[in-house]
Amino acid sequence: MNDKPLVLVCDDESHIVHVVSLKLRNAGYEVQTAQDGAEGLELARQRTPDLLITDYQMPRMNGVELCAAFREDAALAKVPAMMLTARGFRLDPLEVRRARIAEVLSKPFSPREVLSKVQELLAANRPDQPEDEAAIEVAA
Amino acid sequence: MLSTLTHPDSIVLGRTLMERLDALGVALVRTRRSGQARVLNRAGRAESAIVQSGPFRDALRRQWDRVLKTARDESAFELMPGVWVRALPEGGLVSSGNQLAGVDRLNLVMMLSAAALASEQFVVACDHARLDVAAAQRQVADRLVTPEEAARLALTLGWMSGDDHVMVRRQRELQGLSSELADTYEELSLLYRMSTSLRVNQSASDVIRDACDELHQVVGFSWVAFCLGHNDRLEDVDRATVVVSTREHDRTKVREVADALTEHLREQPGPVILDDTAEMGVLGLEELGKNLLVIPLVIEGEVLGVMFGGDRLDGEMLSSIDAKLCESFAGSLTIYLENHMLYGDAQSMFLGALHALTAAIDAKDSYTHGHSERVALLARMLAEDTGLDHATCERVYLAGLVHDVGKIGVPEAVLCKPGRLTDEEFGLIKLHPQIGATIIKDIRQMQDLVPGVLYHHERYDGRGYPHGLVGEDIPIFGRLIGLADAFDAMSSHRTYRKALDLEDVLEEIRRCAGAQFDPRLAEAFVAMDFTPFHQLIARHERLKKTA
Repeated sequence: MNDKPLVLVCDDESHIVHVVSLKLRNAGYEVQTAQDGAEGLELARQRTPDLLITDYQMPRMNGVELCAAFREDAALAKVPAMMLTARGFRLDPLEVRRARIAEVLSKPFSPREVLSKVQELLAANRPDQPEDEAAIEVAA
Repeated sequence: MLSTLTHPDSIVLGRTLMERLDALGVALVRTRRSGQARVLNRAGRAESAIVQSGPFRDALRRQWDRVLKTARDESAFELMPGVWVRALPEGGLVSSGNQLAGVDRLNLVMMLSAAALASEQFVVACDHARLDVAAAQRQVADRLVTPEEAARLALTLGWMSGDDHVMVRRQRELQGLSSELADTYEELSLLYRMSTSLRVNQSASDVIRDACDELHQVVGFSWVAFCLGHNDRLEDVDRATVVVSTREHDRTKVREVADALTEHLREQPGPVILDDTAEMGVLGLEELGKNLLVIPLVIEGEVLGVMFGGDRLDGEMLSSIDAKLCESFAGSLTIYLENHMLYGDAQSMFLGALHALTAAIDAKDSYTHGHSERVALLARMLAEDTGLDHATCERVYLAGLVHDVGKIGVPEAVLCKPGRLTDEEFGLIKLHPQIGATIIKDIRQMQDLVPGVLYHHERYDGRGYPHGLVGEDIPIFGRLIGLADAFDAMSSHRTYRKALDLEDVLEEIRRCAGAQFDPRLAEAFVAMDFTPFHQLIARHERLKKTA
């Protein structure tokens, strides 16, 4: 089994996808990429990612719609989401809350910052770890 | 499965080529000039038997150069009866055919035609591999090709393999470009943050420290130092030395080197990349690093310091891109420092003018010398003790400075009159809060001070002037300054009485809490530490003597 955390990156601008994937792969993550929200959702349904990073403006299905679709899918509902938007583009805070988008970064973003947010979100979203440790203790 | 060829995920090259060959029933064989050969993909046992047989090895050894040639002329060559091979060119070999001569290893594709199964060599190979000849023949029957098909497949596979190499190369280029792009994003976002986050009213030393931290993380240098020389107008960063590093540095040494570099750059005010610091002839520079970038910090046209650093963590030499980034970075910081200086100038000019104005008012009455400044100080101390925020406390101070500005409109004969005032004279005095408010109300930057000026003679019980406001209706600025004003009046000599002792004055304030003063403020006031107030009085006394 592959125990690298899987990050799904959706953006129609391939240079963004390349930069984000490179940064994450070099840091030991597995990365899947999609060119729009619809493709991203299809990939996520085939294999549940540990984290979603998505652009806002994409053809077919935008980032907020994608996150909303994640929330309605039992298997994907708890996947933390991070959004990249164009600088100066204002997202409706209500929409952001409703789609449970944990982090919004604006482009041009610092890849370093993206990586550190990914690490934070994945660390925060791993409630099973202490339980595992407890289980081991009991077993011992 | 969705195919995303333009995305980094697309394919792991090589494996795809093998999978395709599997599907075509074509064997991929790794060979050496010595005749050694091995099947790489999942071709059948018969193919493995053939390539490991003596006749195949002999043929390969003998005809190595002929096999090599197929890489260039895109043909298939019948190495043994019915055994067709075609060399797959490695990247770059296609165009420069003459390099082929020295090649000792080669991947080739192998196809079998019917003639192979009938050949004596096939029987030898099967025997050697302990395979039943008939079974082996049946196994490969559905993969057999005609010589014409072999030629066509050879051509197609050659193209495919060539494309494969191009794709691998492109993939590598893409990786390189992505990595450069990631660096560019990092730099862009650093400069963007610099351009939007530098505020002139922040502490300059904090700004420089934070900015250098960021630069250090983005640029990949093992260390960065930012050193400013002396400048009167940059008090809080005068001779500042900031070093951000992955290792320990002796700051005094860095400082000495920075001073020497600053001198050096006076004659050549542009960024310098030093590939070997020994050549620069600056004492101590070699100990700091070998491959350095030095950027002069030019403030108001003068080289006022240097930013330097280097020895990239990835071991690469510094490039002009590093220099450009650091130059823009240093440029942003020096513009910030210039603005910081101008802001400081404007601030001190404003305060200087206010102090001059209040001194002029206080001078109308020799007994009130320094009064406005003391009231300002006391009102600010009280404001701080009652928990108002820093910005508000500073405004209270300014309101205290100008609270008596209206006295400019009251005749000196009345202000300085010894003894009791007539009702009419007192009426004139009582006009000063309104006159003061009228004077400052049209100055945009001072409009928020008006309540302090207008209401500093109101009383908590409503018996004050000009409006007779009661309790909390009196704006807080008015209540603070009113209390400070009364305290200073009681503790100074006046034309009509002598100064009271501090304890007596405080007792008086306690007694008047709830009547003249806001009781909450009065309670805080009497608990204050009056040391700063006494220090101010002492300073005024000294100035008076020297005047």
